[in-house]
Amino acid sequence: MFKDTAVTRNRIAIMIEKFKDVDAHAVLIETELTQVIGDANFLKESKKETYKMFVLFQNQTDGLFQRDRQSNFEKLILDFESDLSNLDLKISKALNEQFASVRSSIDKFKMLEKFKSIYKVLKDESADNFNEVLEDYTKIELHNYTMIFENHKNNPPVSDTIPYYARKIIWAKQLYNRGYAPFAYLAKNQEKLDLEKTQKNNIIESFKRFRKLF
Amino acid sequence: MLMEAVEKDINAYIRKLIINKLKKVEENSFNLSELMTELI
Repeated sequence: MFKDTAVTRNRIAIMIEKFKDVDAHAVLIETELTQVIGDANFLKESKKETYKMFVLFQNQTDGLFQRDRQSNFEKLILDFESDLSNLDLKISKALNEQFASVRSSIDKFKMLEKFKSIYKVLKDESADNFNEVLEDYTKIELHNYTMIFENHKNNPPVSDTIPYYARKIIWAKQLYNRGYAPFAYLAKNQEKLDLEKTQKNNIIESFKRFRKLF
Repeated sequence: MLMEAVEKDINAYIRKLIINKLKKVEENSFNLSELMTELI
């Protein structure tokens, strides 16, 4: 007894779960993705994809609840999952392209923060390359600024119409600010970014070494 | 027998209700949030 009810309940529960995924993607495309991806065509196509995923269910309405068509329902869910991961891949690719166009650490950190809520919907933790950017900042970017400082501190590449000492101070200050901006951003947003203790220590140690130059 | 008949009727009613709601969704008014609120 109640076998029909079990089928109805299970399939409704599965459909609601899948519709939540579709809805989360549709909302994501209209809000966060619109803010970070300027390609209107891509956004329009992605929105269409979400509708197509829903249509998979709509086209099968007559067999949605039939007990003897369990394999059909399972195939429908597999088709849905396949379409959903294809859309996720497209979105991840678009985000990576967007990310690759940004060069400074500070802009990368800001962009990653915007991406965070997007990655949650995509369920793609691997796409979150925060640690990579953090390492780039502490190991490469600060090191590069240090080398620039060491190589040019006696003759900074600033217009010689400015008095000698003023030129040196302006140049050093600009260089310091370029190294400091990501540090200040990380310090301000450490809780939001959920930084671990070792990450915090690495950032502080690297920045201290850089700051000593000035 | 009666229980089975009642179960069948209730299921048929719920399924028909949901199927009709799914069929009514169109691309130009595609909004699953509203549909889910009704379903839940």
